[in-house]
Amino acid sequence: MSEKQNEAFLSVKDIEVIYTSGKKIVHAVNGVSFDMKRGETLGLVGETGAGKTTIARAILRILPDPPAIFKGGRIELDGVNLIDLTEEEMLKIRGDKIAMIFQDPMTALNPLMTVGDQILEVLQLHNKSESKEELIKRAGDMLELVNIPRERYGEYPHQFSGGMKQRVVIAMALACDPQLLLADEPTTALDVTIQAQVLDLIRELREKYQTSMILITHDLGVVAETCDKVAVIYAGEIVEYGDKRSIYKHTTHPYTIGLFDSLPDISVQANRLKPISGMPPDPTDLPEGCAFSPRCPYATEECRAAHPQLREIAPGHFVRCCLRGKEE
Amino acid sequence: MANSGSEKKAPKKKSMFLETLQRTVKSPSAKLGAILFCLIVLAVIIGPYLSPYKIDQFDLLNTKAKPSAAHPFGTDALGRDILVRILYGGRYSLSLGILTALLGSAVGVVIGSVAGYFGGTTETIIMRIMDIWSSIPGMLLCLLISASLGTGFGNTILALAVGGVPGGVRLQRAQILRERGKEYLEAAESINCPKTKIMFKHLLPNVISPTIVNATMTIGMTITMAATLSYIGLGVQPPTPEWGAMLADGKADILYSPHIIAFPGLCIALTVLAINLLGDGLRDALDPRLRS
Amino acid sequence: MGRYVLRRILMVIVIMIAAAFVIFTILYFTPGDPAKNLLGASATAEEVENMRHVLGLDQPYLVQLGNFMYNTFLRFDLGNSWTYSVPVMQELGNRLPYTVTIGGISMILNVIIGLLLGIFAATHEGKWQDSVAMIIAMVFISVPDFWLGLMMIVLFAQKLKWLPPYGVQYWYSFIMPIIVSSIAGIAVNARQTRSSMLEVFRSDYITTARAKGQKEKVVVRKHMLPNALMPIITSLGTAFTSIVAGGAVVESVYSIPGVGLYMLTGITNRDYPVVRGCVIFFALFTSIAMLLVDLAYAFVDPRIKAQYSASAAGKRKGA
Repeated sequence: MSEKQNEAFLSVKDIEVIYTSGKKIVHAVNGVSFDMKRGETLGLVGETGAGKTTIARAILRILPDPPAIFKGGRIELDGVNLIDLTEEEMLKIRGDKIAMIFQDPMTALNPLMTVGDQILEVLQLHNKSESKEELIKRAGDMLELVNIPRERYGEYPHQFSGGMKQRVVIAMALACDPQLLLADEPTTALDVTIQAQVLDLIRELREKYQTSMILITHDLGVVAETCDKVAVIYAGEIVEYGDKRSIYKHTTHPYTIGLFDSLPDISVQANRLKPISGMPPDPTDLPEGCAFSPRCPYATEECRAAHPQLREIAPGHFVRCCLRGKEE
Repeated sequence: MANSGSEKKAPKKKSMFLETLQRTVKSPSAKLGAILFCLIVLAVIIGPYLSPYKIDQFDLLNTKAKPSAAHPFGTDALGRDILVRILYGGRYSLSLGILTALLGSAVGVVIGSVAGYFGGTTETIIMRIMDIWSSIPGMLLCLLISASLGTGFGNTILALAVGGVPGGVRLQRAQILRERGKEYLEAAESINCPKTKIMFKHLLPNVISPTIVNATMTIGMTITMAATLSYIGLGVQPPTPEWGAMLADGKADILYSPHIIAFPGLCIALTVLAINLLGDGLRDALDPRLRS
Repeated sequence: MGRYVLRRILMVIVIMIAAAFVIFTILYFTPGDPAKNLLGASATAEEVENMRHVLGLDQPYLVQLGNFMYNTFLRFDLGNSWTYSVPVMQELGNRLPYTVTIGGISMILNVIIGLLLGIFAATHEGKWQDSVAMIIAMVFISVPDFWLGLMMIVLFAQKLKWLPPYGVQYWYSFIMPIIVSSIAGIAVNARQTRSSMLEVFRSDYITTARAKGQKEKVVVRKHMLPNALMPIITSLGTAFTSIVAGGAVVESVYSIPGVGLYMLTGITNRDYPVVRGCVIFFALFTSIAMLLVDLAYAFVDPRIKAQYSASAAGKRKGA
């Protein structure tokens, strides 16, 4: 285990986040842990509301406060616990060492600033010694890097298409050569044809700069193309975690199986997709036992009574289920 | 409404009004506003009957008396009990406010809906007229109209309502415009639903919330404006104990008997505060973005 | 953009003409005979007839209207006051400084204090500072301004003897009028600023700015405030109008010889040239304020600017 810790570039340990809404408490993230090596890509997969975005925001420490409260856990980047840093120190990390790409490019850009200035802003924040002219040139370089002509530096977001805006957001995220990129459903809001372009761009740039990435998505197809490791999130917990191969070849958790079953499969001529029955649990009132048990076709009394722990069923392949994995 | 029978039959019908009300009073300030408003209305309705004095009962030996046990708010220049006059005058002030808000909003909704829904030349003409209408500040227009119509209760309502129309029209039109492109209207049109029916049956219920909030706020504003008018001498006239008229009545004695104008003014402030708090809560409750 | 400005200025002129028409017509059809009113109850029918002729009231509506419009817009002559025989234009000129001083300072206070208070409340959302600020704002919105003015006279002039109760003799005579005419506007503006700040507070681009490592203070100033400014500008336009209109009452409470008080005496005396002149003056002020609001929109928001320069047929945005 100690050997593993040494090579971990990002190590997330037992983080827990709640949202307070009036008297209600929403358990958004409940003890999530994972490790990443440098240059690796981790896919966080799950339904809307499972807590994926909250995990990313917690790493960057930009949870909306109030109502979000970081209850506990450690987030170590290169051995430094980000949670212990002062806000001042954290400012230097945001946008520089860790950058984020947001879900909706339509709203992620400030409508009243030129796209160039928005890229310039992040460059200025983290390159205090360089002159403005130099940085403006670099912002232009960044635009060209994401295939936007430098001449459009002075234009406003409303003059760009959705795909172009997302490329601007990517340029902004990559401007300071981050070591870790948090991509929060970077293609969900885009047209299918544009999705592929943007994903290719992210992959290409990531490989070029050896950036580690956490890719948040609910699209297993995207994960298959892009990621090295996969963590399936359900109700704020990791229910299955492992490298891409073991998740895709040895799908174990009933929820993950459900996710795969709900994908359209062209090779089999199915008339209907198989959705997972039921709704995600109310995060203010999680079930006592396994969070997935109300929707799980295999659930037993044991599942409803005891909360299962994450178990390693094969080297590097973890599953949180009372039943599965035992029989194998 | 909340019994089990209706719950099965039409749970949605019950929720619309009651739910809004429940959500409204959830915020402590809106609750305070609601309670205050109810108390004021109650006091104004039954208060005058409980008082030992009549509204026009003179007591020339006891004029401009400071507040005491016998006259909690003191007496005015003619020795009339101020408390009972305030309670009685509240009927005028409140009904002025409510009637004006209703009248102004109704006109605003109709004209605004027509402008927003029919669009084109109709809209352009209406909106240009509204531009001109609102180029004369509401308060001024109100002064002018009440000057030209003459004083009195009905005329004051008219004068007060006129100034609020352009705002109401703009609000309603903006709402309709926001809603106009939505699919459910196309759906209604595709089954050949008549335009007026679409407007009133499908469109209006979906856009009425801001107008309700606006009307509530207007009540408060109108009470102030009515008082201002009366104070200047263009609204309701003394001896009618409308709050503004009472202020006008007492302004001559302001330096030596400030209590004569202190209490009516305080009542205006309190009433308007209650209505504003309520309106604020209503706005939050009706805001679809805040609904969860 | 230049074409748009030109169009808007043209519209101000059209609105002014229309407003002049409206006020003339309202007064024309007001019941009662101003000539009789002017001469008093003892005047004979002949005297009244004579007076009507002198004032031009015996002419048909269209002729009177035509004369009025011609004099107002082509000769910039608003006529003489019927009661005092002084040219209205000259009197307006004399009174303008008082009204503009009070209105202008109130507006400046409104912008500065209102914005700061609103930002303060928004950045402390849900905490006690926010609640206190908003409760105070709500109280000041609810208090009738003229009554507040009267109460302040009782307190500061009568009881404490700090300030003169009325008049324009000293510079500190203006303190109370300015406070009274600005305070409600400040409260409204603070509330508006707070709510539009909160609206942009949770916007994605604010998160983007934070994710860049930008300091919270700079995020507020550089990203939130400009985006929150549109509704604030609208509300400032309204505030300006209500300061102008409410000025009449404040001037009457503090006996300040401004345009508002002039109009009120005009109304009481049925001195139509005075009333018409004042209304046209106020309408001009309002129109200019609206014009500035529209131009400010274009200045703040590149999207609106693009709209304006793209299509000359750009419609005015409804408030």
